[in-house]
Amino acid sequence: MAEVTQSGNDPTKTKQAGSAVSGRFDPDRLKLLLSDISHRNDPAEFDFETTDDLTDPDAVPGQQRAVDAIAFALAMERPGYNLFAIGSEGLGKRRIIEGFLHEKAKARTVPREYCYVNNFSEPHKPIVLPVPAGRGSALKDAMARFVVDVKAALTAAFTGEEYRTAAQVIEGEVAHRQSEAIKTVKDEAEKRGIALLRTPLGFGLASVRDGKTISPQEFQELPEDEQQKIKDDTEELEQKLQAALQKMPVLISEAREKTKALNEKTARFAVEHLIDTIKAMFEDLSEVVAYLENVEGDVVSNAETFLAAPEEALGDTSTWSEGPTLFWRYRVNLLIDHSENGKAPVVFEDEPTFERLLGRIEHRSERGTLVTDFNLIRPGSLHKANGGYLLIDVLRLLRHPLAWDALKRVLEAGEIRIETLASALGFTSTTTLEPEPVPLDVKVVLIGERIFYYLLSTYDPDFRNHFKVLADFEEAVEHGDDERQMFVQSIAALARREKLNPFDRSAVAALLDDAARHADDTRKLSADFERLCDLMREADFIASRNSHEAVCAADIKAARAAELKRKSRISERLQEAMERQLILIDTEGERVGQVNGLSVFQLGDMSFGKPSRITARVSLGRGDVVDIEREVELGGPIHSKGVLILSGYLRARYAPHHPLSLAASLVFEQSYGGVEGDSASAAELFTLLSALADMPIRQSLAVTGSVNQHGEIQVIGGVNEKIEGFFDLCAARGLTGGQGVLIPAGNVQHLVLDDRVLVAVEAEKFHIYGINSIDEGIEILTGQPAGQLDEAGLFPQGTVNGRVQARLFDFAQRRRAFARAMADDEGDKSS
Amino acid sequence: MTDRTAILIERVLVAVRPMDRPDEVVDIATRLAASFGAELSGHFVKDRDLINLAALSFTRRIDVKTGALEPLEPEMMERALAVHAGATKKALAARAAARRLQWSFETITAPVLDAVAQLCRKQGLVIATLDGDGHPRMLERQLAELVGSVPAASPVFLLRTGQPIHGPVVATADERALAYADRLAEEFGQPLVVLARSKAEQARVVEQAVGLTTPHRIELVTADGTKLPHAFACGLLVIARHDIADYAGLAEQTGCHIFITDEA
Repeated sequence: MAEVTQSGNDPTKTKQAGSAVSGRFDPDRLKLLLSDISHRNDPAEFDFETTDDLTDPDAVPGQQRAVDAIAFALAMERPGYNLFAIGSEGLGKRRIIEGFLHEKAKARTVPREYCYVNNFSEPHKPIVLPVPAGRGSALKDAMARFVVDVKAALTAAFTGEEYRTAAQVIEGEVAHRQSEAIKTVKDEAEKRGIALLRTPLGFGLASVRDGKTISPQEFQELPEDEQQKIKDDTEELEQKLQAALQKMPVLISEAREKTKALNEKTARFAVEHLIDTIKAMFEDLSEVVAYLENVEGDVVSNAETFLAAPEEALGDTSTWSEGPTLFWRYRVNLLIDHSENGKAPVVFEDEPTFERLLGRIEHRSERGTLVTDFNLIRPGSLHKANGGYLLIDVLRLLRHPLAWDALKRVLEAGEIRIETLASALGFTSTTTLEPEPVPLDVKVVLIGERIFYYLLSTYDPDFRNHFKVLADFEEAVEHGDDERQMFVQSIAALARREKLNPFDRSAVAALLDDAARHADDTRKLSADFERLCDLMREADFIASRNSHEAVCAADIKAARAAELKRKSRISERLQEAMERQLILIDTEGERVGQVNGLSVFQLGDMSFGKPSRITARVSLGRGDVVDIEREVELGGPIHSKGVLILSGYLRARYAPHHPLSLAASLVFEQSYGGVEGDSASAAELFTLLSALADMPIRQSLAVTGSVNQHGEIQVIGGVNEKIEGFFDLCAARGLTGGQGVLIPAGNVQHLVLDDRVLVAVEAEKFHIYGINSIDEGIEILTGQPAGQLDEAGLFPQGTVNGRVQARLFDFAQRRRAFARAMADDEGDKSS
Repeated sequence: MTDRTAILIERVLVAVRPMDRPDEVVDIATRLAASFGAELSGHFVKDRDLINLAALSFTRRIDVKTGALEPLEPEMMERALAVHAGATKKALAARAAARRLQWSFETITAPVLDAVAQLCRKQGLVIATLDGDGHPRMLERQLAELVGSVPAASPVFLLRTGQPIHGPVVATADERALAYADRLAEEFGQPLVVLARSKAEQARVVEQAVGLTTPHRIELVTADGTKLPHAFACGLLVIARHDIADYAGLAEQTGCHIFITDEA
């Protein structure tokens, strides 16, 4: 038992206590057996031969929460109950949701169609006409025919004898009255020997002699009284002609009114029966009937324009090639045609830009100017999905300027108002259209990563008003019997959907193992079906190349190995650097203050583990444990937190009654990138303890795990990759049987290791230790007992903990002595 | 039998008056020049009568549309004539270039009839304009003077201003008139009507009409050619030179364009 001095706990005065711990010192008890780490799915447990024997699953494995949310959102017919589906890529969110949507869409009625037509009173504000599904195209066709027929009908009516005669009567009346008025003056002028001449500047009255106008010389040679008479006659006739001509505008105006009335009457006669035919088709749709009446009125009131227009302005109204004609205004722009759809629409917008969502107004170039009309209104995905469902990838939505705001605005207003991006930004300087908005009835489904949901719900106050239902997809499925059965059926369904060869049960078992490995958990299966599907496709490819009728486990493993090989260039280069001692990692021998830590490198979708050398140096100080990574800003905050925990642990465990008089530095050797995470904190503590106790650590072992202030080892991520990373280095150098890895005992359930590791473990060439505490770990690493704290608060002499405690106490004594000496020096100087 | 290939026009001489619309007159002249493969010779007639009118100190001009009375200065008239001459030349150049015709342009200062007569003494088809305003006997005098002054070798096309060639081309019963009418009916896309003053003339026309390429019909008219069926319309009257006296009244009555043939 420890001897306690009166002055306090002095570890240097404790007795040798090896016997006190010898009974407990058995590091091999923590060595994991093959059965502890070999969690494999046994093909023999399956009651099928290949996936062809399996039916599709009745439900989506492991996603009941999300499925319930989807069902709720689709059933909830209230504004704002749109769906936001979150989860990692590859979980099959879109496929699952689309499956539900298509089923639901079958039960819904086919939505109304919307047509844009001309607004005859305000052409820049096109009118929207709602019509039942399938009747939009009928209206469009009817008006297209009308456009052709109206031209012919007007032409026939206005070139007919009846019209021409009536028009000639009106024109003739004016011409007659005009010529009569002029003739009266002309006749009188002739009697007086004066001619009425038409000149470029108007009428002129000239005296005539012998059929020719008189020249100024001839005029001057006339007697004065004759000259005066000509002047008087001319002036009088001018007055009369003026009086006659001044009546002309009134006559012309009257004639114009008469002509207009005649034209309207003729046009109405021509167009009435055409419009009545179409009206009869749509008599149950009051808005369409009202529109048709407006068309009739417009044709009638514009008949003169049509008649005066050159032929090319009327043109071939059936094609666009020559540009719009005057009759273009009577066409119908059917935005969405549901005539071929038997259900509500389900639309996935893969490029949710502002314009693709809301629709756009196109322009055409006309004599160097961009012009537009209602025929150039194009629908957006909201129009296409109206009356049904619209799916959008939220990342793509947020990436496009103003698209998110536009979507919110539409949902808020309950109508789709088409505007240009320029006008939304306030940049429009030219006149454009303001189409009447289309009423909106759509369920919007946003799909994306979790971060977007939480960011939007935190920072956008409107968000929760429009997306009230969250469908949170699980990343992994429970590995219970029911879920596993559904998972297996899902594999079968995937094989059928992708038209792959059947997968035999060994392949299915291998796929389940792979899904467990991807989940990093023996009790879970990764729900990343996209990745699983990739593996299945690649395995199917290999199986076909090997002429396998069914894909087997070997094909799965070959596909997986091939994928790893394709992605392992960096990993192999690092491994090579270690083998060539460019990166210094020992896999044998012992060193004080040096341990092999384990890290995971994440490069895209590829992750692999590699060992890193961690070293510690200690000296007398003021209790500072310096994390060199943090000092040079290569360590992340979580890593720094792990290091700071070490100080707390050292202080509480070894120096509760005296100052921690230590200066220690910790470093990841040859680490030139960032270090993040606390999974190396246990390794760092082991290094520190080794340095303090001056006891060497076995370099044939590597360590991973985080530690708390009580010295308990906590679970970490990427345990499989880390183990395999160290194993590969040891295997490359030759397995000695003394090599292995210390992992948190809590991580044992996550072990889904590669066969090459399992084989080595089985052959006792490589060992995995599951540790719960620092004491357990340090005993394995040093081969020495950790030492238990006695009632006096002392660790047995010679144990690791005892040596650490003694070293720290020694540091404290030295520091106190040093401080006293310094104080004495200061006193001497001041006196 | 009519042979339209017997017609040979090497030059089209067009006279544009100050009161004409240059585009309208030049357009027809260019069209016919292109059709006959002739060169185009444009003339603007700086009407001496108008210059005289403007030179009289007491005369004024009366606006056609409003009846407003304004002073008429000689300079004002000169400017108006110069502008008109420029517009005529421009119209001529543009249309001739479009049809790749050889063309020339000059201004003639003379009374209109003198100018036209002057053109008629040159070889080629003369195109001039008529109007009904002015002195009531002007047209008769114009026709008479033209017949008297124009050499028999020159055909003359007298256009009515502001009036499109719309309606049948009507020809008198003469082989040369038929040949021209056939060509002009085709050019202007109009049907052809041949007038016969007697059954004998009708029979002769039937024979002559064998070579016609455009659809045609024969109408019987009275000896002076003035009494026509009620529905009869005429776009262009083609009169043989020696029939002018008989058909002058018809020309007045229909108010149509007139084409006077040359003599073979």
